[in-house]
Amino acid sequence: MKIRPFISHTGVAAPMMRNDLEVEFIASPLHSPEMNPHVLPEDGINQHGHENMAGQPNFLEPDAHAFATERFFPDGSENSDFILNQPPYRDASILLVGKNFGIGSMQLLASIRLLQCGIRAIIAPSFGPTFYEDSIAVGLLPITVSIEVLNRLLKAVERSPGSTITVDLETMQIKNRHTGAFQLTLNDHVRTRFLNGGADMGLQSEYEKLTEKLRAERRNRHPWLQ
Amino acid sequence: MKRRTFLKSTLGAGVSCGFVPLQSVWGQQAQRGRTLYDKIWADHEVAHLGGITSVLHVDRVLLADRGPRAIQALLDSGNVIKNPELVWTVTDHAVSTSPERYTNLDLSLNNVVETFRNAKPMLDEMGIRSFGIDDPNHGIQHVVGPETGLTQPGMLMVAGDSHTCTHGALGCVSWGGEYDNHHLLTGTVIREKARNMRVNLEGKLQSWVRPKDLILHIIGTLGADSGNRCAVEYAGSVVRSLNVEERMTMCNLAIEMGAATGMVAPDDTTFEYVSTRQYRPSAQYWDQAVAYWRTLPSDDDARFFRDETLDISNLEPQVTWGVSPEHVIGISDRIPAPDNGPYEKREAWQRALDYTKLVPGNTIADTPIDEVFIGSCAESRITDLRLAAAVVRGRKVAPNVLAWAIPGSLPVKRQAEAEGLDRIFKEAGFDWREPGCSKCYGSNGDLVAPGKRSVSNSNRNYIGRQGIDAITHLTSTPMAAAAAIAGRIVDVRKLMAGEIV
Repeated sequence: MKIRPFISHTGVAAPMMRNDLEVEFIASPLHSPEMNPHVLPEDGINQHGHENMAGQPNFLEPDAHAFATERFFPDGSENSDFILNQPPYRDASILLVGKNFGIGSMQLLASIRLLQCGIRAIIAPSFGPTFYEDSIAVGLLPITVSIEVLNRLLKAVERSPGSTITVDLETMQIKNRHTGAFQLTLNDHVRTRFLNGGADMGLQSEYEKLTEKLRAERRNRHPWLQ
Repeated sequence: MKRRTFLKSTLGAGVSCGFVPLQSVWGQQAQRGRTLYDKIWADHEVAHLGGITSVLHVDRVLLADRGPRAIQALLDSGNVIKNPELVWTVTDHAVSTSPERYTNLDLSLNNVVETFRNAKPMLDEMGIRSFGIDDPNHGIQHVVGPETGLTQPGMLMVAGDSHTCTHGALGCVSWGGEYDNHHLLTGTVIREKARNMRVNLEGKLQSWVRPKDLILHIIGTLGADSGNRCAVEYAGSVVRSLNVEERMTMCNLAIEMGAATGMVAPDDTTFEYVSTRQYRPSAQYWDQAVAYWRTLPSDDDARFFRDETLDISNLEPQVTWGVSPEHVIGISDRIPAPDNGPYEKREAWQRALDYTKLVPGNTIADTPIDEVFIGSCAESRITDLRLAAAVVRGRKVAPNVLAWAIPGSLPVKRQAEAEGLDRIFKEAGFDWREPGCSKCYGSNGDLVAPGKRSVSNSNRNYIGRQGIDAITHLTSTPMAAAAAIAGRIVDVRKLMAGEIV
């Protein structure tokens, strides 16, 4: 799947330091009408819409929001307590979040909704395993940092709300005016995928011959596998 | 809350993700110091991409409800599915669990019943195994795989559902996530290798303490993120003594501790289980398969990034009080006060209590309930249903409690009915329904009513998981059955001892 290339990005960082945040909280099928499995349109996509494998997910709603249940009251008005509704953070494109971000079901929609509301990168001490993979798949950069680095970034952002963070995949650095630069650790294939806009399929095809070779070997040594 | 007992805890400084060169994977003397996960990883490694990332060969691609449509769409766009024999598909999330679903197709979502029926000839011809509701093996994907023998030790399996880790109970590597057409088209997956973690359970299990209690206790003790980026192997004498179905419950909730996957080393219990399955290795290769499977368990000198040992001798049945599986206490414990909790969790605990409407200091026991759900990929197999039936036998579901029992698959259902379990459930006042995911997630429309309190033997108690504003208490299957009878959360041991009427 092609993704928007990510070479270097500078954007407002918003702190959302809640631990163990569930994917359903980011994009809840139970709370968003177009995804509610209980009022499913004919031939619609339920929360397993990500299993629509023939190309791009087709549930891209232009007005959809991540964190819709926090962002809006039931009557549709904005909740001004919610951080992404507050002036310095309205245009945030980087989230500083607590540990175990995005736990729960496989919910590709959560990563997509975050992209849709302008988030490009998420900086966390740890991620839910499926959210991490899903985000890489759709082009939302999950960055794992130590608690110390996160706290320093957090302090800097809280000291001057609306200040920006730069994530640079070429130099592999995270930078802020107040904190200086930190080394970014990212897996090579993730870095490559984000730098060149996604070529996993190509990459896997490159290994076609090796795959066939291994498969033949495996048939030989594990002949019971059908 | 009771103090938890740690016998031993080591947190390794180094990441043990040693890459094994491809040439040495097979045909040479086995290397020492490798874990179960290391061995299976190495056996499937097509190429190493640097760092901890590899291209891996996949033995099974499991597609859920949208399988036939996804395959059709790929074919329509001119693609070839090279390894159809690796692919299997089953409908579970979207199907109705009503007994009328076989004739009234509108009860299921997305025309999924019809889609599976229509696609069957095409899939058969391609060699893709499909399990629509008409198939005698139909059921929840994580029940069907092990039950049919499609899941075998040593395999690497991928699927789109996060509870795919369940299959690890047979000693294979399995996980959910990512975009499926990669696997379908190439038969490979690109993946970062997880770190090795082991949880050893020692001691003697008390009666009516189930694997669900064990895994909830592990999550409660170590935390809902304790398995982050780890492949967790459950080990120790307690795990060795569990049957394969019980091991599945433990591996099912590995994702609830944040783990990449959960596993139990294959042993004689596993081989005996696999030996009676429909898709088991053929007789001609059986001995060879078992000989290979015996090489899989972690070496004695295997290194783990994290190795925990818990004594479970004093463990009692567990109940969740909050909105994360780590919000768990024993049945005789009191609901914790956020102010007494770890500093970083106080806010979350308060939010959890606001949602579950419980008062700190009160006992969790005797909390009145509205609904009971017995089903799901966590526990809906015959072992679980037998125990639940033993609890409800000769008793009645409390008035005003809606109780459902849903076998995990049609084979489980047939077995239960042959043993007369269905009659026991029905006579007690349970709804005995058809296999499917049902109220665990509610994606087929089976929901806990808004604001109602449910005791469920499933795996997630997140906000809204079972329905809007529905409150979920996770327990083992017998504890859920006991709650249905009492109309409130009770200790199943007391109910069985006649101390609760």
